[in-house]
Amino acid sequence: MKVYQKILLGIAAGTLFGLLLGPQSLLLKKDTVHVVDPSRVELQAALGDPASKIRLPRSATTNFALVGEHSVGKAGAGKAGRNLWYEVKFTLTAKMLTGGGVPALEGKRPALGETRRAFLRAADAPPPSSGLGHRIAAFIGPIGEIFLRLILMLVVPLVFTTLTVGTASLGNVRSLERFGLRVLVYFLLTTAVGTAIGMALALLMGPGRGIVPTEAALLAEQFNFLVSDATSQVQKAPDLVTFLVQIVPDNPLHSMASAQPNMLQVMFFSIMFGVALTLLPESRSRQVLHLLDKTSKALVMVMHMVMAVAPFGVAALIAQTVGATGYRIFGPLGSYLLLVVVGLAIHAALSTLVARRAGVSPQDFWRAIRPAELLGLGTSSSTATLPVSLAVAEDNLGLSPKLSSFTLTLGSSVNMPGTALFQAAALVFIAQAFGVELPLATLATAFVTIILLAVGTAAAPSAGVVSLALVLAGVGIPPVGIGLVVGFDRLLDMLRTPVNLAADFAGALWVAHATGETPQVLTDEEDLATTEYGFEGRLDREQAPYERRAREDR
Amino acid sequence: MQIYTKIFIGMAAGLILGIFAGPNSVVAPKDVVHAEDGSVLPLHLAPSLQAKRLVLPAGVPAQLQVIGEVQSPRGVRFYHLSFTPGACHKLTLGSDARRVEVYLPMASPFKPVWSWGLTILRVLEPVGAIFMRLIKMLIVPLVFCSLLVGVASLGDVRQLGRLGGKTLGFFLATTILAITLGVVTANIVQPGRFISEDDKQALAANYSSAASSAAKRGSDKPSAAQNIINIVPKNPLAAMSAKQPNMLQIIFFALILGVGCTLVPGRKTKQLVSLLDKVNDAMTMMVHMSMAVAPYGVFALVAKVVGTSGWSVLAALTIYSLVVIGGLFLHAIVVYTGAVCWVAKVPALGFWKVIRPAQLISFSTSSSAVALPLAMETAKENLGVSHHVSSFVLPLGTTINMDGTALYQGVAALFIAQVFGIDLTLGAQLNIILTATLASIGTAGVPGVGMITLAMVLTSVGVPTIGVALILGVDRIIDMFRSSVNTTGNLAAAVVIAASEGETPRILLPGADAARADAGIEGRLDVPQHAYVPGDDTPDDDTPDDDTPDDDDSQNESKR
Repeated sequence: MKVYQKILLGIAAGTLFGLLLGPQSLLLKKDTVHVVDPSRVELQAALGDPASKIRLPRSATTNFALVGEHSVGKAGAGKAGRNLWYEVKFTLTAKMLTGGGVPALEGKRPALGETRRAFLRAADAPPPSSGLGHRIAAFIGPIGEIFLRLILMLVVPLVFTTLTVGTASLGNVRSLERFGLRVLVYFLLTTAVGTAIGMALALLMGPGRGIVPTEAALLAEQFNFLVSDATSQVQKAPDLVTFLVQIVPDNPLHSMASAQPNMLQVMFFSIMFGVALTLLPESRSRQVLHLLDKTSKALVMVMHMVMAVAPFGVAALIAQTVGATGYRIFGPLGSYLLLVVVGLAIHAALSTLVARRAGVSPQDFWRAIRPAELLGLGTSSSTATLPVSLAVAEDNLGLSPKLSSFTLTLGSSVNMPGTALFQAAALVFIAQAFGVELPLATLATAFVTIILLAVGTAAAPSAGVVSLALVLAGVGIPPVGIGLVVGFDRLLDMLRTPVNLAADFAGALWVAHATGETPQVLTDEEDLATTEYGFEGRLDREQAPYERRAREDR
Repeated sequence: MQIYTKIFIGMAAGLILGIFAGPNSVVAPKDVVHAEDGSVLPLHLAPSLQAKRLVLPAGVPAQLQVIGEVQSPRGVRFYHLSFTPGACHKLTLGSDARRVEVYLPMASPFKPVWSWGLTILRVLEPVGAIFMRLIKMLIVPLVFCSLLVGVASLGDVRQLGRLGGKTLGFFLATTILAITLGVVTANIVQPGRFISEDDKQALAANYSSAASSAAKRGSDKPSAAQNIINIVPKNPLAAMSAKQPNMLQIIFFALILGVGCTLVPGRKTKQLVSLLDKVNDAMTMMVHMSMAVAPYGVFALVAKVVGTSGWSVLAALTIYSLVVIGGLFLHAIVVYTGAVCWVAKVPALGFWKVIRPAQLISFSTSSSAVALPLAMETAKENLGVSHHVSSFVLPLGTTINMDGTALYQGVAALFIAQVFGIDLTLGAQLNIILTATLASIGTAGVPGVGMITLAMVLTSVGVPTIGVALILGVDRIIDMFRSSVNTTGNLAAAVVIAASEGETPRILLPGADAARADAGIEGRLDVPQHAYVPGDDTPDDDTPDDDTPDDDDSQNESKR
């Protein structure tokens, strides 16, 4: 079986598994309230008695077993209203007891393993889900996490080595300027097109018009527990000028070595390093460049090793995402979800057209890039996919790495047309649902804001929701509106990453075409026939042990 | 045009812009009151000191329009201000507040400024910030590579010991001389008595928040023993990749790894050392690339310093500044010229001429660490100091040899004590000399760091650390002078140590420099570029033992 087929199988298995056995599964009983951060919820030992509040620490993620539901105060409030309370049971763990927020019960001090009964305010917590599903998700979660780490591990060293060698291969700073400008213009254009598609579709189809504002508020409140996370991160977002200034690293080793590496800073340093090496005499730069070149070759080999376990990792990641979303997609917000999917498909089609202008047929284009596309779908992150993307561009599309490494690395950080499309559609949808008028001037402002934010948003999963909070604040919609779309965010993130990637690849092809390169798409037969390049059979080569030369030295 | 001429023009332009178009412009109308942290403004809702106070949210910048001036019945004069509350103000003022009028006592340290001047500085800020970051970016890789290669090419550990001892001795001697000079000057001139009681309080109020945080960080300083322990890194990669890299730890690791390289038998480490040598070359080339934007960066930084501190603050502290600057000049001219002229037998005039670019960079960026890459280049190219001396003396000196900082701390400590009316005994003054010497060793050459160590010095002699606030207004300007003295001191040390190692330093004057593209600092980017062709591995590079013909560090070869 081919590598992409295995990953596809993993995706299918993960989807099925998530739908059937995930926390939101229809088959399993919804008997649990899963609270990630219990310090944020109102939990009372006696209903309606604030004095009996139980305080649990932040880190004590708990599955509360659902016993019953109680309505307090005036009747008639909706399901997610502020006066609905869940009656729950939970077991005291060591983490909860160290917090010291659990009061004594009937004079007895709280003991480890003791089961407590309490009341949980529904407005603070997610809707009930399957306890078994959560246990299964917690079990398969580590598989996906390990796979994600395996591939993220390669990103910083690969970007540094590939970009430095790529820049040094260009050999001319002036050509970098011209070509860099072309890439940036392409990224801005494709992001603008994505934003326009999202806005136009939402305005034409009006997915939010069917929703009454009061109903919208209730729907949004269902996800209140996720909104505060997003809005709290908004304040940390830097303004555009600071963002640009901070592309220059303070300490390049810090940019590379921190837990959240700053890819733009790594890029800046790599490019400048590469240029400096071309300015040195060839005898001074050759040794450094050879070492970097060989390191990048070794890292690509590690990437192929990671791809061998990709089907399992992708299956676990997808099962989690789909399992957390579940059948919710068929609810009242389904039309919005459909709209975004249609928009993403249109954008992907446009990318295909760009690739065609560069001389690659649609069929060849998608066949060549499918390992990266599938991995993007699985990991929801174009940064994590970058090692595979670089190999796809060089091996499958036959592009010279000196141009494509630059386009793809920059693209993974700044080019997010799929994210922009989602934000534009979400903005219009939320405004329609809440009955907020969007005059042309406001739409124009939002258009520009979305493009700038899409460029400035870090390529992390779900970063789109954080910048959506900024866009909403810009046009005067309360941040609670995010609640309408946040429930799907992980799922949409999964779908928009391949669209972002397709735009990156199309851009790499277009730039290569404009600079006179001819892409050479690798056929399946060629790929299977060789172990030297492509994605098939790369690990079937003979291992060459490293010979220590110590004896000779003695 | 030569690079330092361009930098000088940038500096002069920044100065003029700061004076005429900064917030404290001498010609423009002062139309707003601005505070980076709105909560420090003593605002009243009516023109009376007894009227209700209005406290703006902390941590949010506030800008208030000046409407006019009023006088309360009791004769207290106020600025009449107004502002439209923003989203975050509504928390304190209630959501229905539209336009609020408030009164600011004229006696408060906050004075009206020109709003467009603030805008101009805000526009210029990124230019200066980018330049600072470009230079800072190179410090860690450059110091590590050059120090390691320098030590490894020494070849003999005992030789390093002698060089190290001499260098440390010279650093210690000049530092003690500098701080003694500072203390003596401050005793003679007595700058503290020029400040009136009113100004004293106004100054302290303007900088109270910054001073208290400086004081706090000063008291957090670990003990002397802990300082020495901390030189040994637990994880050298963590020391290099921290947001604030720990330079002493990096230096220690580079030194010990360099020594390790020389101890491995055969030529096994030759490839590693020659690789790092070439990385070092690339870093140096990146310094030259960054210098292309230096004039603009310097322009923006100088405009900001002059524009924000302005004349009102400067006037009150001129005497103190003059004492520090005068002391710095005296130290530089007497001690360094003496050392360079008599010990190293190098013509003093030539020395002063060729170190100008490095001095100007550290002057305009207030950081000897930022000027380090250029200083190393100057020492090697224009002063003819060998690589192994310059790459040892200069990075080490940037970290532990801070004559300018030590001198300033002596003057500042005495000045603050004089302002607070504290009479310092001879014992206390000796204590200042000792602590300031140690403090100047343990701090990195980054702008503003002197303030933290000063807080430490003040604590050691029992002077209120709040006194740091008094001199903060002019600190940035003095920082420029003392940083360039620090750089000068390091370059002088490099020349003196090189001479004592039997080298003959020779001066490459700017005129001769400009004529060559392969040496010096002028015109280094005018060489043709070479494209790297990837993939085709020539067999000679695949074998780890193979000798590359371009290696110039041939000392290790003899060991085989």
